Amino acid sequence: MCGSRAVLYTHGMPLNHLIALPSHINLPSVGGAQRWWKRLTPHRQDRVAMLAPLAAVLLFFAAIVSALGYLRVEEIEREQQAVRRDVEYAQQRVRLRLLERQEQLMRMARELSNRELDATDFRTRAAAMLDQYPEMYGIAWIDEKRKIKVSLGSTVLSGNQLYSSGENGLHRNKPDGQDGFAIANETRQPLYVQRPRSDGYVPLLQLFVPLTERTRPGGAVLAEFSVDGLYRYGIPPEVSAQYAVSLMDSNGGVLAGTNIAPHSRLNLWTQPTNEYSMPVSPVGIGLMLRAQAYRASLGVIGSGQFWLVAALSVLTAWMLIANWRHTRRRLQAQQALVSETNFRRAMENSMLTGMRAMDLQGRITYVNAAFCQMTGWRESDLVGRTAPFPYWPDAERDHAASRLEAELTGRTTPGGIQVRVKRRDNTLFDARLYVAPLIDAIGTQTGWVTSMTDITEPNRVRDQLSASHQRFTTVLEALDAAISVAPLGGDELLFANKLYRQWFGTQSNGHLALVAQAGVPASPTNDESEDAVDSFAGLPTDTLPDTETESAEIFVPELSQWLEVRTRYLSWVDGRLAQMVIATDITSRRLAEEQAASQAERAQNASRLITMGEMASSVAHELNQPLTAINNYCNGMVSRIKAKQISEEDLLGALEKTARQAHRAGQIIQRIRSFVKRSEPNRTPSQISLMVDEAVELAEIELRRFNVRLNHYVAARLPVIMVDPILIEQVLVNLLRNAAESIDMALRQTSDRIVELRVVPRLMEDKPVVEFSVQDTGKGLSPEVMGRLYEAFYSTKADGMGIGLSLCRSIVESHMGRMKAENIYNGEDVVGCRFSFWVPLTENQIAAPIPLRKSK
Amino acid sequence: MSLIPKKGTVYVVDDDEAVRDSLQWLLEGKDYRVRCFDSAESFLSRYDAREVACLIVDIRMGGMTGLELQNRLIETKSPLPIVFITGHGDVPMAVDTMKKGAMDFIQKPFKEDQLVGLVERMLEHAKESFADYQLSVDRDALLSKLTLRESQVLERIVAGRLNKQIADDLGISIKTVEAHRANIMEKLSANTVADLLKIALGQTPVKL
Repeated sequence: MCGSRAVLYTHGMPLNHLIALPSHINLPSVGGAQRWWKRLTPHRQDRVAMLAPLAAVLLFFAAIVSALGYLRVEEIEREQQAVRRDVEYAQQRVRLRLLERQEQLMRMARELSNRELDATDFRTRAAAMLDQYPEMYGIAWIDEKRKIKVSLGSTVLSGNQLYSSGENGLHRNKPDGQDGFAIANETRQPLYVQRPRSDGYVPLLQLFVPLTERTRPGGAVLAEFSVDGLYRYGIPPEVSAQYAVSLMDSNGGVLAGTNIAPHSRLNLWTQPTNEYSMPVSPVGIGLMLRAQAYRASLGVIGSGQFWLVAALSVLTAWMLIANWRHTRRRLQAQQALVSETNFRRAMENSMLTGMRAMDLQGRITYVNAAFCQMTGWRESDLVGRTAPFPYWPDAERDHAASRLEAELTGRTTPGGIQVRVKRRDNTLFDARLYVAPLIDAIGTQTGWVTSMTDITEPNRVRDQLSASHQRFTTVLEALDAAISVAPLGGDELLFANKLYRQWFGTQSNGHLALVAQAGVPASPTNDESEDAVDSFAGLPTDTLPDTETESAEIFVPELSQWLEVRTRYLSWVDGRLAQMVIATDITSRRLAEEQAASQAERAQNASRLITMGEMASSVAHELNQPLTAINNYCNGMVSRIKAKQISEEDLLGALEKTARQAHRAGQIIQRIRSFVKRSEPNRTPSQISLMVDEAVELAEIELRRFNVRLNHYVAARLPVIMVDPILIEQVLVNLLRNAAESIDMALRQTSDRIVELRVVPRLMEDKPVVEFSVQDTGKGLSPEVMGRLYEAFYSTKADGMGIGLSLCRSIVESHMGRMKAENIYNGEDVVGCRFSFWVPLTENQIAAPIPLRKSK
Repeated sequence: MSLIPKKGTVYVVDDDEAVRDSLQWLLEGKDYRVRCFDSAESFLSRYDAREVACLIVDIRMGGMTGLELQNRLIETKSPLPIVFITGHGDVPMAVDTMKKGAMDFIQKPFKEDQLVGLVERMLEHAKESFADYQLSVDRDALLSKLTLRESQVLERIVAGRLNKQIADDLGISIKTVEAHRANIMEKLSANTVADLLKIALGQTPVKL
């Protein structure tokens, strides 16, 4: 009844409601344990979960063992108590029997002492006793002289055990009997004596009861008990049935009864025999009663239980360990599975392709992260939806539905289909869909899987590409150079930009004419033909460096223009070798160059004039010298002639000197004139030493004014170089003047006012050059000045124009030379400055013998 | 020409050979003794300081300049009158030389009579200055004979102090002062105190 009611109650209830613990039961200790459990790392939780059952089993095992042990100890104790009780009971019985006999004998002894009993009566009573009590062997009346007055043997006694009358009945145990007799008479107390054990004699117990005649001892009554008889009749049979009962003497020798041999000591496991012994009380320690319990099979049964429990515990522990190992393997497999799943999930999520799975009814069962990201819808928005899907553009809903129909019936195109997809924010993008059947593990189709790729970016790239191609073409068209490409040895025009068409029309005539005029470039190298063409626009990818192209400047009369024509070979898109011509209009540049050249020349001229203007006072001083001399000579002559003190010879000498001074003045003027006169740029083979002399002469005019000495050294056997001597002189004069001014500004001592000019051949970048250097002893150039040294209109002089050095440099560079300035140091101090420039020797000059010095 | 009595010696220092030579030619025509030097250094090493002469020097020369030469002559207290030849545009420099005691400067090219007049004036001046120079040299020689104590005593005599005061000043006895005084008179070969004063003050006693 109850069971069915319970079933009724549980019917319809979820199973877990029945078996789950109510969650609100939360004892503090449980809560603490829960917290502790939660704090543990999963690894430790596993370990605890594994070790706890094992510990429980071991604890259980230990409890069983201790319970068994306890029970066993109890049992042993109980048995021992039982043995003791029974032994005491048996002893009581033996004692009572002995005491009864003792009472009777004592009564007889009293009567004998009182002479109430004679020998016959004694005999009669003794015989009655012997008959009545089989354990008694015999009774004797011994007088005070130790003579047996009456002796009565039991019928069970054998012949030699009989006490003969008149014979000393105590001959066999004289000392003992005598002692027992004596002690009994002395103490006047009944005394038991244990006859010593000897071969052939039955163990006997003797009882001496003393007789008292008035105050002196009057013999004794001796009763002999058979110990065996005592055993047989005194011990209760229920005790002797249960135990091995024995009577022993004080030395442990068995007098009567059975004895269990002691166990061999080899068997340590078995317990010692359960036994108990105690003395029989009226006799004292001379007679011991011992009971030994028989061995029971209880221990075997107990250990059997123990072993069973142990075996079960071990089995349980082993199964726990095995279970744990199994669990661990399961856990490892699970972890591998989890990591594999995570990996696949991560792959799915990181994939840029959107994935969508549908079942056969067209319901979305899965979308991946990329799909959600593309469409902007959440996974929860999409999974479970059927058509129409939220990402279908509203305008194409019908089309999309029919397409879905096609998908579901399996009519798909392997190349995918391009669709428009609406994002959640209503923006649209282009996507390509690939549909494939979704096959499960057993090979049945469970749905369709669709991958979606956002092709907006490729579309954009394609658009950009075409736009960039268009731009490129536009740029080429708008270029102010005519570009044309024609195959080698053909008159077909492969490419021509707008300017070419404008200049030469659509035919290749112009191209060929330009090539013919510009000359044919060197053959292209083989590697150039590879990868020379871009796949996008069919245009050369590598740049057109000047070194690889042939460049020529030609004048085209039809256009009345100067064109710079560059030609180069290229591998055309179809692999043919073609020639490209780039013609640039350089007419204006040409004009500008010509203009610049004439301007530069004018500037150089102007600069020379300025130099001379700046040198005017020096020149005046220089001219003053010969003029003064002429004046003096003339005055001297005049005064001498007036005084008529002059010989013709002296006069001639003076006149010659005068003429020489006039010539000197003329030379100065000539030099200045040639320096400043305007002349066409004129590169002529020039003697370096002559140029240097001219420059030095001019510069010394100025140097003298500054009281600066000039040392100059020109290497011997310098070749003739191809320069414009006036321009080089101009540079030298400028540098020498600057040097002198620098020394003057530094306020050097007279001995330090030295300018050094050296002209030596050198090797500069492995090319032979002639180097001119001017070194002064001024204060050098500050870094600021050094940086702006050649800047036009920058000057450190108060009245300087700032064109000297910049002009010098352009002069030097127009001679393919270089110019540089450096400070000269003596330790930390600037002790001067060195300007130098070099002019290269042309090839035919190298042929001339030049003593070259290696450049430092 | 060596027979004709010379008016005086003119030193010409110029680094321009033509100018030097022509100047010599011109001045020798005027009966001057002319000695030419091509640099200030050679002049300084070779000229005779005792000769009564004048110096014409180019202000602008390689090596030691005219200005430097002037400085050197001032250092040696030379009585040589100097005139500078200057070129065009060197007037500020010439003014500088005048401040230092140059007689004059002349610009190239020279006017003959101006030059000759200048030389004449210089030589005239040179005669006086050379005599002064000689006297001062003599006096310096005399004064250098005195001991330190004697020159101290002389200083005080010239300052007009009495023997007694001099003795107090120098912490010596009057007799010692008198003895020094006698020694001074003897060493300077002066007979009276007035002579002593003249010698000590560097006046030219000859003219008095």
